Amino acid sequence: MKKLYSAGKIVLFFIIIFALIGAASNITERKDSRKKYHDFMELSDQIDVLFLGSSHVLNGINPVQLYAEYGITSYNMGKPGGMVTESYWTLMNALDYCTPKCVVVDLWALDRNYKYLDIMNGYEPEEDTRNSVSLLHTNMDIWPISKTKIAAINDLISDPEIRKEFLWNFTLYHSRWSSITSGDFKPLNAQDSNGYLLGAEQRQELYLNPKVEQALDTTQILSEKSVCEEYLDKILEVCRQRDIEVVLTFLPMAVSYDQDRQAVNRITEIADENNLLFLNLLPQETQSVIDYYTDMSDDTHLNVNGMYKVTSYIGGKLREVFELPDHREDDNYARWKEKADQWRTSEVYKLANQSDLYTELGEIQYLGASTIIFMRGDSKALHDSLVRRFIKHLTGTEVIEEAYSENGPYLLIRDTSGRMSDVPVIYEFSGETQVEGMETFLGSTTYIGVKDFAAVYVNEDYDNNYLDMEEHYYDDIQIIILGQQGEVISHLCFDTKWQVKEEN
Amino acid sequence: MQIVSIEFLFFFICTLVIYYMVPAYFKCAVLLAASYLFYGSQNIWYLVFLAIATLLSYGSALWMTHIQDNHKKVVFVLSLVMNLSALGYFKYAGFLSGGRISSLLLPVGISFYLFMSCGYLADVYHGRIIAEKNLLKYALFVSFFPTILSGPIERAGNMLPQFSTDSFRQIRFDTSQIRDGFVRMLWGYFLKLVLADRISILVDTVYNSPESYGGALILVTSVLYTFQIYCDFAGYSHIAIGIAKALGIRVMENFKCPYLAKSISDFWRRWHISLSSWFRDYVYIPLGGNRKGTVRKYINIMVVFLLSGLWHGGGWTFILWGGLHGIYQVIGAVLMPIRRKFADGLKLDEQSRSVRAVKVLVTFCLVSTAWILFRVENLEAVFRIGRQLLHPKMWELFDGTLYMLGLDRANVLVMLGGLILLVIVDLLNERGVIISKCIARERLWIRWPIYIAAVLFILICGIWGSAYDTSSFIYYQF
Repeated sequence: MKKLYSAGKIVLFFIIIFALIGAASNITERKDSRKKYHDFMELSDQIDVLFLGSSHVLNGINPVQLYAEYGITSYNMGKPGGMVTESYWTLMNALDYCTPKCVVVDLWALDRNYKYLDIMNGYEPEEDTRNSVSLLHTNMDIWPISKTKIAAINDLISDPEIRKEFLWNFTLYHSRWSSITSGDFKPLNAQDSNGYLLGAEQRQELYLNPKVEQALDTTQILSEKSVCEEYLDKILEVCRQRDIEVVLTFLPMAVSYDQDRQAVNRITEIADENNLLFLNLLPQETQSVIDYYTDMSDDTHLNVNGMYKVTSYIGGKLREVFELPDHREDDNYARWKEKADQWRTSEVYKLANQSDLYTELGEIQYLGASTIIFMRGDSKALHDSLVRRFIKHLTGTEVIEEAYSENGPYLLIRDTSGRMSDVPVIYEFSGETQVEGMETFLGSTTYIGVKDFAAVYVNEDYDNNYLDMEEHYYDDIQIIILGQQGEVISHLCFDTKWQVKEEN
Repeated sequence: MQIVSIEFLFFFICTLVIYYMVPAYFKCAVLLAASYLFYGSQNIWYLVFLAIATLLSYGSALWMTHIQDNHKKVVFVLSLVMNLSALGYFKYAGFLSGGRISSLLLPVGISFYLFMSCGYLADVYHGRIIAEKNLLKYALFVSFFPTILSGPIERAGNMLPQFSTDSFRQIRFDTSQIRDGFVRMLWGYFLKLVLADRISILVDTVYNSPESYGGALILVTSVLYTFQIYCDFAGYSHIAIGIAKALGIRVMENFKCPYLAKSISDFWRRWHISLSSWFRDYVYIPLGGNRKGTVRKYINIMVVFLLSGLWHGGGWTFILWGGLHGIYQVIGAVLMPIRRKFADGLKLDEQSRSVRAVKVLVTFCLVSTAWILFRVENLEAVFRIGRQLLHPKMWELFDGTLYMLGLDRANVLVMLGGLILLVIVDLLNERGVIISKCIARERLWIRWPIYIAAVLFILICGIWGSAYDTSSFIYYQF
């Protein structure tokens, strides 16, 4: 009896120890993976499309926009540096939780000829291999121990010691103890996660001086079948077995190299051989669905403007080719609607509180906001080619160039009836002008624009100038965002470095 | 399998369960199997070498019991030569060849188990013990897994009797004994993972490019290294003794608050006791000890310490380190009468706290200085460090440089807190207060939270796993 009591005490002691280690493990864990996949775990049974790939996918495709625009339910599984090898194992782990109707695989780095992330090609600096292993945690930490996860780790990592940190990540993360914050103690909920972006990440910043260098078209293909191509075969095989449609993509990059062109040619062959849809978004500069000068955040990653355009383009293709169901009216998909509403609210908030002119102009475009944009005579903004480029995206005309040659003033009323829409009515005026009786959604609108004065009056209310020249006489550019009732959501003016000056 | 690893803990728990489940008759075989499994997991060729070395010393000892004096001496000398040649070949080939042979695969723990074998052969030759007939018992003595990699260098006279079936029969499943072993292991892991490996990050950064730092910072890191090597080696010894204790086996103590020593000779009675007593019993005394005059005694001391330096590694820095300790001892002995006269003249009470404190401080400084030789890669580095000491750059201690050596502020605080705890524990030990025993006497609701907090603290704040490259135990390489 005494022995039994002693043994019981030992067992109890170890139960307490293991429970507390479990708690410590949760607290110290880096939360990236949980944040990224929080919504995947919640919504996995309703996902129709999975997007696989690298950071190009992560920053290039916005599932919540896809739902808002087309009613397609999808999840962005992209991760920085993610090659096809990792995409395969991400898919295998995801398939334990869902069976999508379609898988979209981005094939950046198809030419990479290695699978072990802790070795890579064998000649990279140690920092690169360490970084590569560290990034894999984003896609692996979320999955509980399973046969698939163990197989994935054994396949992607060669060093048995490093494998351990994936099977029990406390061995890695316990050293975070000195940098944990109050957030690490809170349970992860939707607010803590990426919230509404469904795995995607938006890059707000604009790449100001992009070097757009596209390799020339070639008929050559990759000289050998790479390890990544072998894993693409595996993805195709798995999807074939489970009746999942596959779409191949190559997302836009401002700078591409010969091997990218050769990879695109090889992907075209693979798509033809397997009767697959291949969306090549890496054509020459002039043919792109994006504008490399306004839509990139660096050489190879899209910013939020580019993400909007690419998502819209891919969504249209998916709808057209696969007739994926539109779940927007389905009450069972209410949580998707919630996400879409959260996204809209957040974007409108950003629009009203933006600090940078270029970002503001980009957001007006992709959100389809109703806006009044005024540039006074001699405005420096007219001499900024990038500002003019953004304005041309908003209007689809060359009037801004006339304003530039006339040295202003310039007025744009982009009328979407106060709703977010990409089919606006455009009213544009260059040079000294006076127009009365324009029927905008605000009402009968009058515009007076001379070198030293400008005014926008509605319904002959001459006491209320939307441009408020008393306060904004010296401001080069004014942007007024309008709500559905014509109310002013924000009135932003920018200094000569295009940072916001004040907000009314 | 590293002794600081999750695998080892699982291995140990499995061994413990099986060990207490099998009858006494099989316990020796279970421990031997576990020991061979553990050692073989380092490298299978190491295990082959260990088995051959075991058979040779086992056979030689048995042979000595069957032959007469002169032949016995020949066999004894031959077996010693074989053991020491193997040690020399693996450990000193690079040094002796001037670096021309550099890639020999040194079996880990070779210095420890070959010294144990040599000690056993000497004991049998001098008739202090009877040659062991049971091969399993002898093999277990040489390969006992808690001690094989870093000691303590046990004596056959202590261990072999414990490996008999009769002794195993006395060992009962006793939770308080297992708990005591567990607590001892915890303390060892604390010293190794929380202190030694944390300090090593800082020390390595400075010692890898001493020219980038001022003398004050080098001095501080040198003092920290003094603690690092203590925590590292004593940590391993505590773990080994704790494991053995949980198995019901007594292993000799290896450290007794060495930095509270009042002289260098006192230090060597407290530091790596199993090695220093080995040299005393098997080298110093056979050379004549202090029985053949003062000069011979000093020569013997120098020989022992030069050999001790050489034992720690094939390199001039180790030899110099050993030599410096020998010189400390010789000078200490030569100056003893003068020191006594000086103390009498000043009417100093040798037993007073202040005098003892000064002695402890002076001894600590001497030992710390010698550790610099132990830490540096080569003699040139000693001169580089010496040059830097002339430029103290005191401000580096206060301008945040300390936090840019691989440890942030929180980690430095843990390190300092841990060192304070270590000093307090050693001071209490010196006064005969054993904290683990005090805790063990407390009620369960006080005891358990302390143990649990200690486990969690070590797991969370210890330097282990993938985040940092856990440096191996310093003493593995010896």
